Amino acid sequence: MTATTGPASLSELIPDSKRAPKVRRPFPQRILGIWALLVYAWLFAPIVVIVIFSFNDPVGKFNTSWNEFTLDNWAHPFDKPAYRDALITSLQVAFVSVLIATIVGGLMAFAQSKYNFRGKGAINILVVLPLTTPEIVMGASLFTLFFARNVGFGFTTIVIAHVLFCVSFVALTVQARMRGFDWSLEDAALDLGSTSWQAFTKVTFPLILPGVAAAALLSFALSIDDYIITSFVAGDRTTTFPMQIFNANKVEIPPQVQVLATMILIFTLGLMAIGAWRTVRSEPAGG
Amino acid sequence: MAGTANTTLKKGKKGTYGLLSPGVLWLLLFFLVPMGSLLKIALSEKPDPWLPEYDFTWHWANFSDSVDRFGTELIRSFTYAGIATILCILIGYPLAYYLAFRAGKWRSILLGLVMVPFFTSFLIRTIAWRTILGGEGPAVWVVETLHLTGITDFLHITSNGAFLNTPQAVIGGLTYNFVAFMILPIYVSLEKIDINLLDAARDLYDVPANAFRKIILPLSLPGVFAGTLLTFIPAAGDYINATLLGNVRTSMIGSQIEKLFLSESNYPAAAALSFIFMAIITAGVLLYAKVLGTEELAA
Amino acid sequence: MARRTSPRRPAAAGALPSDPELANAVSITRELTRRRFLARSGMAAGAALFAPSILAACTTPGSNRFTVSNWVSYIDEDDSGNPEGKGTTLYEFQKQTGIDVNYLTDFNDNDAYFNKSFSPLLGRGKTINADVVMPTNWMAARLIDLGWVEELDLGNIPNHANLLDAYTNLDWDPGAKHFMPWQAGIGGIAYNPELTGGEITSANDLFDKKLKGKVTMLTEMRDTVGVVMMGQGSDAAKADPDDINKALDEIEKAVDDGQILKFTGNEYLQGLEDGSIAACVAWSGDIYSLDPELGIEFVVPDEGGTQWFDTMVIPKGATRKSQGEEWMNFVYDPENAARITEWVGYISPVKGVKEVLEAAGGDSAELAENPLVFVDDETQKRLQVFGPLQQKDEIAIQTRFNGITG
Repeated sequence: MTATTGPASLSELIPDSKRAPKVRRPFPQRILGIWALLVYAWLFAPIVVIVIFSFNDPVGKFNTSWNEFTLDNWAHPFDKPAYRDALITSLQVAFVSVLIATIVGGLMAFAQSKYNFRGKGAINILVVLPLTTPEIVMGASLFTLFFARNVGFGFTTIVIAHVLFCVSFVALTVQARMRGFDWSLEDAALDLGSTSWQAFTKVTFPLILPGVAAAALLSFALSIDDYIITSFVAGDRTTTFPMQIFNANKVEIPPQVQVLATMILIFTLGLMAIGAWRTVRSEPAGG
Repeated sequence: MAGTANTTLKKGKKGTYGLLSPGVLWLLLFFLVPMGSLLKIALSEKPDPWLPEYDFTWHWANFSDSVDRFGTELIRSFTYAGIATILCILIGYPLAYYLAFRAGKWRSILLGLVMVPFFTSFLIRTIAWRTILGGEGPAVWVVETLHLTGITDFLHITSNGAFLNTPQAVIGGLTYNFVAFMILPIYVSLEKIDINLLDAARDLYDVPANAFRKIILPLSLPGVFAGTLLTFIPAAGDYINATLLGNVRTSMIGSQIEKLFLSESNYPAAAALSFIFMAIITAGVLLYAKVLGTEELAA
Repeated sequence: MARRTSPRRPAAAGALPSDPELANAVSITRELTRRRFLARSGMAAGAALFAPSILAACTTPGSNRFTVSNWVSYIDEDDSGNPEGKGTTLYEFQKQTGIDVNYLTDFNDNDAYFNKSFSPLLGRGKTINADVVMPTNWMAARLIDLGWVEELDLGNIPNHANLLDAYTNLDWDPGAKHFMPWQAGIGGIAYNPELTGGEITSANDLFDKKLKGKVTMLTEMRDTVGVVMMGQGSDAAKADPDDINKALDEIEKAVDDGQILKFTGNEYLQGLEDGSIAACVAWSGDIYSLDPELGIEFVVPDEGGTQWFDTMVIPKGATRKSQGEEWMNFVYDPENAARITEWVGYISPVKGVKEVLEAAGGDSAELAENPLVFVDDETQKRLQVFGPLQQKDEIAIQTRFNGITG
C-alpha cells in the first residue's frame, strides 16, 4: 500500500451541478450554543444551591431551609470528624479503584477492539451483564460472597466492589472510542522500526487516550458517589462519604456536608482550570 | 481514505488472553460467582426468616410470586426509566454534538464540566433539588408569579402547582442524575468521526439536516446505544430518586427489592425479583441491539 | 486526519518524518508522551501519599478496642461537633475508666443491621464487631428471643437501680436483664395549624378529607399502625393482628383515595417546612429541629400515641462484655444521663435526670419543664409501647405494610 495522491477532498469528484453552495448557516449553530448554555445551567442549578447553603446557619439539625448567612461553617469545615474521615476514605477508595478499573477495563477493551478470538462474544456479554444488575442486587450478592468466604469487610472489599462496577463502564467507553480504529497506524509504526510495545504506547494509546480519560473520569464519579453497593460491603468498620451522609440523613444534614461538597467542587474545577490553561497555551492549531 | 484505513481486526494470539485475563477473572470471581449463589437462593426457601439458612428446593414459585406481587412496580420502573432515557437523549445529544463539533479546543474542559456536578454526593444534589422544587422554592415561585400554573398542570409538569412529590419530579431526578452517562458516550463516538467525512457530507448534501441524518447520526449510533444502556439500566434500578422526590404511588422496583432483603428478610423472593428484572433488561438490550443494527455493535 | 501509510523508512531519533501529516502525528504523540509521563509521575506521587493508609486499611484488623455502635447524633457533642471532645460523656467515660472507646455511628436502621450483621453472624454462632449496639425495643425483643444477646451481670451495673420502673417489667425481658434503654421517644402527630385550619387532636383527623394529599405517615410500621389503631380504639400494647389489620385497612383505603401523600422517615420535616405536608405521624424529638416561627405543633393524640425506646444490648460472644457493662453503668449516672438528654432532646429512662436539669438552671431547667422530654402522668397514660408480635404475624404484617407503603 503506497501513499495515494488522490483528490484532496471529495468535492473535487463531484460535478459542479450537484455541489452544495458553501453557505454556513448560523442559525443552527446559535441554537446549539444556547442549548448548551441551558443544559449547563440545569446541570449546575443544584450545585449553586449547595454552595449557597454552605453559608447557611440552619435553625435545627437539617440544613435544608435558608435561615441566615454565616461564615462559621467555612471557618470550621472539618468539624464533625465523622464526615471528614468518611470523605478521606472515599477519596482513597476512588483513587485506587479508578486506577485498577481503568487499567483492567482498558486492557479488555483494547483486546476486544483489536482482535478476533474465541469467546469474544461471550466476553462481550460478560462485560455488559454487571450493567444490567441493579445496585441493590450487586450489593447483596457481593455481601453473600464475602460473607461465605469469611473475607473481612472493609477497604479491600469496597475497592473490589467499586472496580467491579467500574470495569464495565471503562470497557464500554473505551471500546466505543476504539471502534473503527485504524490499525494501519500501528502497522506504520512497526514498519518504521518500533516494537509492538512502542507501537502501542507511542501511537495507539495516545489516540485512545481521550476515551480512556473519559472512562477514568466516569469511574471516579461513580466510585465517589456510590452508596448502595458500598453499604453492603463496607462492614462495620469503614465508612465512606455517601454512607455517612445517608446514615446521618435521617437525623441531621449539617452544613459541613455542603461545605465539604463545595470543597470537592472547587478542587475539581481547579483541576479543570489548570487543564484549560494548558490547553489554551499549548494545543497546536486545529485542536 | 476509508479504503486505505485498516479497520479489520487482527487474529488473536496468545498474548490476547493475557490482556483479557485480569478483567475476565475479576468479572468471573466477583460477579458471576456471587450471581450464581444468588440464583441458587432465588430457587430456595428460607424456612426461618431470622436465620440465614436456605433449603434449595427448585422453588420456582419465588419467581411467579414476585411477578404477581410487583408487576406494577416493574412496569413503572421501566416506564420512568424509559422516559428519562429519552429525555437524556433529547437533552444530551445536542450538547454532545456541540462539544464535538463546535467547542473547538474547549471541548475537553467543557466535557469535564459536564461531569463536575456528579462529583458531589447524589443525596446532597437531590436534597438541593428538593429545595429548588419545593413549595417555598424558586421553581414554584416562578410558575406562580408568571401565572403559568394552569399550563404546567396541563402539560403534567406539575400536579396542582407542585413540582415535588410527583412522578414528574422522579423522572426529572432520574434524567438529571444520568444525563452525563448519555452525553459522554455520544460525545466519544461523535468526536472520532473523521473530519474529512464531515466535509464530504456537507459538500454532498445541500441541507445540513440531511448530512446529519445520513452520515453523522448513523455513525453516532454506537454512542447512543452505549449511552442508552448506561442510562436506562441504572435508572430502572434506582429508587432513591423515587423515595426523595416522589410519593406513595411512584415507588420503583429497587425499593421493593430492598424491602424484601432488609425489611422482610425474604432473600429468596428478593433474589427472584432481581433476576426477573435483569432478565427483562437483558431481553430489552438484545432487542434494542437488533433494532439498531447489529453490525454496529458486533465486536 | 487522513490515514495513509508511509513507505518503509528508518526513522532518525528526534527527526520528524517528511510527510507533513505523519510529522504532525509524531510531534503530537511526543507531546502526549511527555504529558503522560508527567501525569504518571503525579499518579505515582499520589499513590505514595496514599499507600500507607491503604496498607493500613487493607489489613483486616481485629477490633482491639471497645466498640459502641450507635445511631447518628444520639450522644452529646462538643461545640465542634465531636462526640468525643472535651466535656462530652464519651470523653468523661474514657477519662474516668481508662477504657478506649471506638464510637461508631453506623447503626442507622434496625432491619439493615439485622440482615447485614445480626442474622448472618450471630445466626451462625459468630461474633459481630461491636460490643454494644442500640436496637430499638422491638428489635431488642427479637434478639433476646433468639438468644443472640448476652445476659447482663447486674453486679457490674449498680446504676441499674436508676432505671425507671416502666421498663423493669416488660414481658420480653422481666427485670431488664438483657438490655438497658438509651433514650425513649413518642410517636404522635405533627401539624401546621395554618394549613390544617385548626387544632388536630385525634389520629382520625389525619383522615379528614380537607387534608387530602397533604398527609404523610411514617415508614416505621409500629408508630404508624400504632397511632392509627389507637385512633380506632384498639389497644396497641396488645398488638392483636386482627386489630392491626383493621388499621391497615384504613391506611390502605387512605392511600388509594389519595389522602396520604407518602410514607417517610424524617423527611417529613422538610415537607412541614415547605408546606407540602399539613399533618403527619411524627416523632417527638424531631420537632426541635424546626424553626419555631413556622408554628409547627406536635401532639400526642387523644386516643393515644406510641412510645418507643432504643436500647443498649451486648451481642452474644462480645469480647468486652464487662466494659460494655461499665459503659451502661456510666450513662445511668443521672449527671451523665442528663448531659446526654439535654443534647439529644429525647426522653431519658434514668431516674433523677429531671432534678439534675432543674438544679442546673437556665436552659437546662427549661428542658426539665418540657412535656415532651419529661412526660407528665396524664400524657404518660395515653402512651403505649407497641406490643410484641409472633414471628409469622410480624412477617405477614410487615409484608402487607410494605405493599401499602409502596
